[in-house]
Amino acid sequence: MTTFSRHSTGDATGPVDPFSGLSDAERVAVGGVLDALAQPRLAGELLGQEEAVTAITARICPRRTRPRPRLTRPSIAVPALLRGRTLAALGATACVLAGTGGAAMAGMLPGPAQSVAHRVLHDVGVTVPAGSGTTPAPGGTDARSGHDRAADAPRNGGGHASHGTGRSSGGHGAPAGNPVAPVDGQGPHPPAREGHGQGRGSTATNGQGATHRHVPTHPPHGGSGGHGATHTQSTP
Amino acid sequence: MDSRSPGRMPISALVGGIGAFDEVLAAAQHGEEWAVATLWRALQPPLLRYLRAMCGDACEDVASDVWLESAGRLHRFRGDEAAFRGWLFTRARRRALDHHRRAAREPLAVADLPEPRDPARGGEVERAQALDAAIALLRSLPVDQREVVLLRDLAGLDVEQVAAMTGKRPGTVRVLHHRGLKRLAEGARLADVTPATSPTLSGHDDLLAA
Repeated sequence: MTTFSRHSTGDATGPVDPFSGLSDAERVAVGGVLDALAQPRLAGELLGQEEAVTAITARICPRRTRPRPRLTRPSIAVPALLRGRTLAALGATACVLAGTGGAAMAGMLPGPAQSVAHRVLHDVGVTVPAGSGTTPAPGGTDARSGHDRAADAPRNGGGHASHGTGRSSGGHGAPAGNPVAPVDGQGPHPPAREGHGQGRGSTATNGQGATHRHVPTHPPHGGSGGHGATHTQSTP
Repeated sequence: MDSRSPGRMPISALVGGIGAFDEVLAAAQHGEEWAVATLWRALQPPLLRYLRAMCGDACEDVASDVWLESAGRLHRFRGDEAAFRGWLFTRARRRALDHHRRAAREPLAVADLPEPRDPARGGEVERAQALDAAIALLRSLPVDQREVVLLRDLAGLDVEQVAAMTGKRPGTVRVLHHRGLKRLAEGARLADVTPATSPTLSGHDDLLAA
């Protein structure tokens, strides 16, 4: 049995001496316990050394026992910045396309763009409203002055006043947008916006201020002296 | 320095002149079996005794886990022999805590109590019985005192290492060490501790709170 002094710690000068306050008998007793605890290794404590060392070595160097296959194809490395920009560009493009498509479906695009969208999407089976540049508005809402229209329309032959003679009511033209209904010069007239025929001009050409897009030449009642009926016919 | 103590014997002395600790460690980090065997033979006995005192009959399984875990991280270790002891016993302490957490949920079995060794060799019978008696007496201590006594007097760690390992202040470690030794002396003097003495395991819950 050894004495406790062998087990004195190196820092016994600290604030607490581990063996302070112990009687001699207690020091001997605790020294015996610590001697037994720190005695040389026993044979039974080293049982299984080979297996333990083999397992530890295998854990330290797993490559020795289980080589890992090397990848033959390197992974494609795409910079993160490039990936971010690409995603941002794709997202912006998708937003623009979706917005344009929605506007085209709603007919909100400007005229030429809507026409193009109508034509292109019609080819793929999607129906979108046509633009105003290709399809005339129903009813010929394009109210232009009779004088301007006279320039567009083929002039009628002289002597065949097709419009507005005689008692034509001084300039009561047919209202714009009334496509085919012949308007009697004496009928109830909406307020004429333009044109003031004098009723005497035998060669008057479209002096009635009616709205015409394509006005066929038909003398309403033959020759002059008609009632100044105004025919307005729109052709789609 | 007690050259007989497995916890304090320099590993280079156990090597038998092959090399110093640094060389043994470097070779072990490269997976040399002789170096691993040297470390294992030097540190397995104190590790096993520490775990016997802390975990009881499951000490060998826990020791295997400690070695395997340490082997997986051995290449990262940098330090001298004292640091290596502290590094290894830190893992042992964590494993002991894990064992106590599991054991706390299980009913105490007779197998958890330390069993007296029965070494076949004649000279080791008394030594083994004395070791069993010492461990049984240690297990009667509160866990925090037992842990400090084991780390200080068995593993050979200094106060600062034990304080860092247990998360206590150095002064607290000194006080716990002193109280543990005093209580150990009283128990050894008053009772004739034999290997058949069953230590109490009441202090296990204290370890969880530590």
